[in-house]
Amino acid sequence: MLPDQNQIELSVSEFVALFNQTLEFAYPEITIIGELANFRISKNKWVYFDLKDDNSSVKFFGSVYKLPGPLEDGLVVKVRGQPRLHNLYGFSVNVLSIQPAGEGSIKRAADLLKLKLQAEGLFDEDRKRPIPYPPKTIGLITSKQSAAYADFIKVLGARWRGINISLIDVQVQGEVAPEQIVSAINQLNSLAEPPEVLVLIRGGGSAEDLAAFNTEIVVRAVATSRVPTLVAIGHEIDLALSELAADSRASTPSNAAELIAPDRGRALSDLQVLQVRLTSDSSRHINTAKINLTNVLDMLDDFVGRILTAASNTNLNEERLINAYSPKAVLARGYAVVRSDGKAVRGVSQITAGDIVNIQLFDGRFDSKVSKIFKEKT
Amino acid sequence: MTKPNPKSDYSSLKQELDIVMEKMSRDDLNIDEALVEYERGLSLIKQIEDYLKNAENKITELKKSLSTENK
Repeated sequence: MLPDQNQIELSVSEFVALFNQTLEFAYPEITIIGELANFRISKNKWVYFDLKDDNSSVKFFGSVYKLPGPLEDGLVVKVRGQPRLHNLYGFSVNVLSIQPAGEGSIKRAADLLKLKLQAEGLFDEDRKRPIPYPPKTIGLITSKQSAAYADFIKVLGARWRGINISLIDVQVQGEVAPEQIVSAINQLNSLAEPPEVLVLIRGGGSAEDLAAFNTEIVVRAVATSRVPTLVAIGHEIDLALSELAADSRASTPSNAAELIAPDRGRALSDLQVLQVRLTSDSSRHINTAKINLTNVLDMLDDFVGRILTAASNTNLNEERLINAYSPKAVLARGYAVVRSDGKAVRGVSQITAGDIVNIQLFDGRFDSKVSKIFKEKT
Repeated sequence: MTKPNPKSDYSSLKQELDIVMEKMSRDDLNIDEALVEYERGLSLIKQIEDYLKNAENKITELKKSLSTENK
């Protein structure tokens, strides 16, 4: 075959540039699934690995910030990237995102991340902070379109009222989910008046659907949130690492609402109990006051009684004295009182012979005529 | 009659009621104090009831900060 006369001749650099242009046009982005091999991290910053299947192997290059967490050879991952021909090192795919793919790999990647963060103490029980019950303000991070959101709002509304909810609508699955969730957590934390609790919820789904909540950036953001966190991901059996990192976790979004606030019907009936207790306490205090009053009255009675008794004893003595001086007592001893015209006669000068005088003895009186007067010297 | 309370959120009211209940449970409370606390307790119960019956949850949607918008 003869060489084509129109064939362009290029320098190596020109070829690299042209080839990259072509690639960029044909494959601005491409997603490839394969098994990790030769995975290595350089200078804690750059990541190199191959993706392979039974027949082929392709080189990849990226930054550690694109990693969902620790990875290891053998994991099946889904990589989105841009194919490039490097001017010195040859062909590779520049990694835009990388996620474990398939249930086994997702679980293995989560286990690797769990081990790493557990070693750092991120899941330790003594890190858990209490959540106000009920809080006045909630920062809610979820997808506004999701059933999880609807369930949470419905159950919360049925249980409790007067809560201010600041919602940040985020994607809860897919490649952008982790960064949106992290950004929402940071945003709520940096509000001038941060909410009292952050609630991060998502309904059930496949391991891949829930993957965002097992990424290192999300788990760390939950763990380091200054505002206490409550996380409920998926169904009861699903346990995401961000739930382990949270201050409190709920089995479902509805359960999260149950953990956040008491039931107001119950609170109302508790109030009735309190009212009954309040009234009975108040009656008790009134009774105590009454009993105290009765005691004081008794004491007063007792006091007055004693004064009266003392007074009457004194009286009795005086009566005896008075009786001792009584004229009757004198009469009884044989003396007599002589009266003239109703007046007691004290001396013989008050009477003259022939007067009729009245004599009183102790048991009666009689009249008597004075026949003769014998005056004596006194 | 219920006096308007500047701190009329549930937690503040409930906290105040708990203090009243605690005082009322003491035996050494005198009758004057008891009657004042009783009135206060009834008023707090009324306020909490009103709160529980009439308050609503408010949802405010915050815009996502720019760092995620340009992703």
